[in-house]
Amino acid sequence: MTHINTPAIIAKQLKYKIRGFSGMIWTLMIVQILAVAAAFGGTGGGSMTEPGPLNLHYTTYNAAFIIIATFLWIAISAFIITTRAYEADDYTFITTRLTSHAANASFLFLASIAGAVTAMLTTYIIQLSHLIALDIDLAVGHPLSPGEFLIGTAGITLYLFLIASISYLIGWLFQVSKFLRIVIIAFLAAVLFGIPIASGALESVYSFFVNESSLIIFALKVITAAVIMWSAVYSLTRTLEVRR
Amino acid sequence: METAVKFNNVTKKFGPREADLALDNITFETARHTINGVVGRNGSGKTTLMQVIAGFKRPSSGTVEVFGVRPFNNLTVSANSIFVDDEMSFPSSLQLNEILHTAATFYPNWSASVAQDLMQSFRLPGDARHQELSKGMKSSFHAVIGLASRCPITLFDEPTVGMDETVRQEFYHWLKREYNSVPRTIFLSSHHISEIDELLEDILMMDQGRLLLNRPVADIRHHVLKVSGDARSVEAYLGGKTELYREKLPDGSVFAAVYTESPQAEDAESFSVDIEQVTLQEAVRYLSRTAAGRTDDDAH
Repeated sequence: MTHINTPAIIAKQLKYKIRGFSGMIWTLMIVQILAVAAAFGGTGGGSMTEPGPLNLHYTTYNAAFIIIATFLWIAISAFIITTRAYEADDYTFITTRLTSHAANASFLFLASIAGAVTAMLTTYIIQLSHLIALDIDLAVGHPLSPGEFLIGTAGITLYLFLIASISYLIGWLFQVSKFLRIVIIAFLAAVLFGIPIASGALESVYSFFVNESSLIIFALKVITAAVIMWSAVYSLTRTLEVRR
Repeated sequence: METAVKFNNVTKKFGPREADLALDNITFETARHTINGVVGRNGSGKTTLMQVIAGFKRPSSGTVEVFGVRPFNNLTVSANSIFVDDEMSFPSSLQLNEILHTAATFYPNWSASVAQDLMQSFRLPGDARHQELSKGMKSSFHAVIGLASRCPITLFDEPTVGMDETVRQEFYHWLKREYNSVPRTIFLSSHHISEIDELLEDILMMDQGRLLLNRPVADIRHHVLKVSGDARSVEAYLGGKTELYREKLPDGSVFAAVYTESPQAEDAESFSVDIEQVTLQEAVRYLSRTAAGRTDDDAH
């Protein structure tokens, strides 16, 4: 009999996932390249004609496209790893529900960091590519200091992990019960059609996180929410049999 | 006897209907370091039994112990067991060699040399991906993982699905060899009973969720007999024995199969009947049709 310690197995599962889910990183790159391409034409702009010799045409470029694309990427990634095929991959080797979720949480956290770093770097690429490719008379850049870069990356990482956690929880709710599946779809439909209770609930969750200006407090909020959601997933699946 | 697996009144129901009853009040003990054949017809509960041992499924009632621990969702049991079937799943981005490398990181007893030898003998290309393999090659690859992991509890659920006969023989050869060099407790289910009967030590015979029989193979061969002769002689011989099967042959003679606790060598002469030992395959066929209350000729 081999006695096994839980953290060691979680680490092995994480390594296995990093090797096995390399497709997700490719998807991230494609998503971000597409977002760069979409943002290349500019995301806003206008022209000012002042009386006098100055004619100003300006185009604004920002990273919102890339960030939103990265949010979508992590949401979809977190959702699909709750499906049967990914569960089966885990249960080929040594695992329990606890180690499987812990390894998925670690994986999604690393993916969040990767998504945040690349999203921030991609913003630079947009600025650079315009300088090189376009005949720009005057580029008014807003270069980020290393400190700002770090804060930005940390902020996006937290957002990505929050989204991943929500999506993972929704994914498991989908997996464990047809009833919950209907409830979730009904809720999303209600939000979509602007039914006040549903959209109001979503809005208060949204503002709870988004209207937080302090990174530290925001981090605490995200971590608390994540702990609640991951615990919920664990208690939801603790007695769930392997679907094989 | 050191116990590896112990079932105590284990029932598993997947739903309220009678058809959802996968395991019906099963009790048995398996000694460490034995090769156990799990046999029975389709839907008899073989897979569920093995999945309960692996900790994939939770008993509805009763208790299961694997090395003294309840296996469901248990890390120690997961680390000491492997469940091999044709539905094993791997990330599509990994090559077979990379999968083996990963398996090696998980299983402490993993033998890389056995894995390599088996890959060669099954002619599996290490740079292929799992989804590119044929059904038989997939089964072969799963068998590589099952054998090379050298898990104390090794569960093979229909491991030879899709394999041609040569490959099946190769697999049995390796199974025997690996078992001899690193003894472990093996559960093996297969429809090719005649091919594995040499390999098996004990039989768990399932029918409609029940455990019909849990005996050493040699015992079964010893106790189940085929009898033939004229009708009156066979009738006389059958008196007081458990009749499993009877058939009237065109020439008026009778063929029967019986289960007897104490087979007597001199019976053949004293009853003037022919007595023959059965193969394991035949024993299983006779025993399961009796359990199901079938009397027609569907076993042929």
